[in-house]
Amino acid sequence: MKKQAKQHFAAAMALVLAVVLFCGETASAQLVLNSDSTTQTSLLQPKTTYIAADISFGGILLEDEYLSPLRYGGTNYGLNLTVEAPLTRRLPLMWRLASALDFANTKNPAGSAITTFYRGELQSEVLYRFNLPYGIRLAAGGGLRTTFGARLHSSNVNNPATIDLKADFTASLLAAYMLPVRAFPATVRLYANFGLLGMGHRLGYGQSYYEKHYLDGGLVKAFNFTHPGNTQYSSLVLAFDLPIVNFCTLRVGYRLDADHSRLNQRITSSVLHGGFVGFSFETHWFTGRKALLSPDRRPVLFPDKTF
Amino acid sequence: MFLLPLSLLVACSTKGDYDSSPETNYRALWKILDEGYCYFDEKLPPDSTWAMMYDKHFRKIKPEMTNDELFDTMRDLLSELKDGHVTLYSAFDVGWWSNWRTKYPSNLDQAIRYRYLGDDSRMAGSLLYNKIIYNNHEKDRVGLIIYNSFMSPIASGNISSVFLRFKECRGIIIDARGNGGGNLHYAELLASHFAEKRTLVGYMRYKTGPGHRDFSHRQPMHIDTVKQGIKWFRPIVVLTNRGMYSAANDFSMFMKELPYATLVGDTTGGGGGLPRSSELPNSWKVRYSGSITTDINDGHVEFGVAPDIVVSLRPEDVEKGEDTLMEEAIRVINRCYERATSEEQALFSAPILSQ
Repeated sequence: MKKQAKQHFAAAMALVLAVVLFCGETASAQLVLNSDSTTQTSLLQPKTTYIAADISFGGILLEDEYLSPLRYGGTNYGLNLTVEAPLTRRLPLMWRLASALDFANTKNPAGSAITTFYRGELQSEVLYRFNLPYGIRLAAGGGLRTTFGARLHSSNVNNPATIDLKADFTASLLAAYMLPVRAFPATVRLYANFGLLGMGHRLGYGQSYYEKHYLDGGLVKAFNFTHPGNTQYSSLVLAFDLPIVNFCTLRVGYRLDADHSRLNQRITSSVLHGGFVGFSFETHWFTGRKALLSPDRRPVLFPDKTF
Repeated sequence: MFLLPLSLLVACSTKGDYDSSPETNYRALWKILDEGYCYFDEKLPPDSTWAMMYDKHFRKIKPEMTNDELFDTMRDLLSELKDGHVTLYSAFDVGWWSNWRTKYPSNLDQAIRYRYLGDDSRMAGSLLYNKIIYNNHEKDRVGLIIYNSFMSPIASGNISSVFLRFKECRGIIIDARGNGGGNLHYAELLASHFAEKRTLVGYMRYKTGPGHRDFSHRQPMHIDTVKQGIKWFRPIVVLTNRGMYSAANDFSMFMKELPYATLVGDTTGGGGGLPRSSELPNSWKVRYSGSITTDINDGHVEFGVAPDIVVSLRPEDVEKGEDTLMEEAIRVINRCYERATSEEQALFSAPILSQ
């Protein structure tokens, strides 16, 4: 009896789900029919996403009082990926995702010790776009940035490394301009962000790896509240998208990244700058039935399929 | 535009920060210790301060002094702390205070020690081991392990392998005399094979700020029993002397809290502070005690761990080719065996050990 009741309940739920989906679909179709032709087209058109991948080279200055009172300098190498996509079709909101992997080898002033620097970063944010005069676009917003990394010292005994784990809310500004030249529609982007509030991990003032790992229960136990009073973390990126005939779009630019904190009475900082070079792409995402029917779509397997 | 990124492919350098001025480096050294060292109260005489030590040795600092003179002055400053963990490293010398060992008898004769080990000894990781046959001790069924430095790695498998080959033994002697320390993890690992259960063995405090008394609350140190591997729940004697420092000192502290262990010999050399490192503007490095270790009664072990049975190496025994401490250790194991109940004695002779 119970089994039968369960079957009825499942059937009823399936029916409700089908009705909801049908109503949604009808409403959506209705919206297309009731809208003007532009809206109709936009609903059918796929979403265009900007993707940029580049490698960066440059210099880095490190300070980490837990490891050494001296500053370390060296060369930084990075891999960066940036994605920008419209968030909605009705509002000028965009989503920006930036990720970076950095590696640096740095030396002390005498060149007698090495600190190796590793950092990964993932940042997701939402920006509101404004159209300024002369075709300039300005976007402002914020998001969440997570950072993970480490600094390894070549000769310290029980304080051989620091771990960088943090998450903070950011405020961001993006200004962009596309040259009004049909033969060379290059784009320049100037992006800046600033860390606001968050959480950051730092070892205790004189805490050794042994105390942290074996007595204090591991790395993720102690986090500090971070704010502009104790942590200043900002980035500046100037990027140029340069179309190379009809072959590709080259992306070159300059990046400056400054991270300074004073937590547990220890100063930790990194100033990283350098040039980058890579490629950028404009990608259409075809998802859903309507998008798959778009005349703009050129699939690999069914290039000649029409409905 | 293309030249912009290319022009920025320049590494940053801090060579400009290099400073070999004697005064700057002397001040930097003093400040590193002032903000990070953990034993000022215990090490300096009651009527003196670290600031007074600065003044005392600063008189010798001259702009035109040589690197050797500067090094010696800095070493003199550091020697005021009487701490074997406080060490100054330069390209041409290493300066440290070694009186913790040199002004005491070593209670160790290496040649005789290796006679007890025998010519057919084996080596598991860094553990030299064999059953003691020398001096007619075959009947005593005692195993000997010599561990010369906690810098040398050992793994749980090495320890278990040794125990397996000592399965007929009534007890083990761990001879760590002269072991100057190394990796604290190895000390914990070795002790964990003798722990029946999670055991409190001491406490640690680390500096929470630059003040001389900025310390964290005490954090308990436990020895957990090994999860995999052979455990040894029969008598163990640890031979100790003044040459045992740092991790070896801590090992003695751990073993003192374990039920089957007896410490025989002299007080250990000390070195209860967990060292950390820093560097000077002229690239010389400095190591210093940064965290305080105390025993389960919260007493300092910086000055050594006292043995359960005080024994010194007697010259007349050495002349006979005997190691006084080793002989006493064998007697301790035999006494434990004799005092044991018949059930325990059966366990001591059983070929299978607790796992």
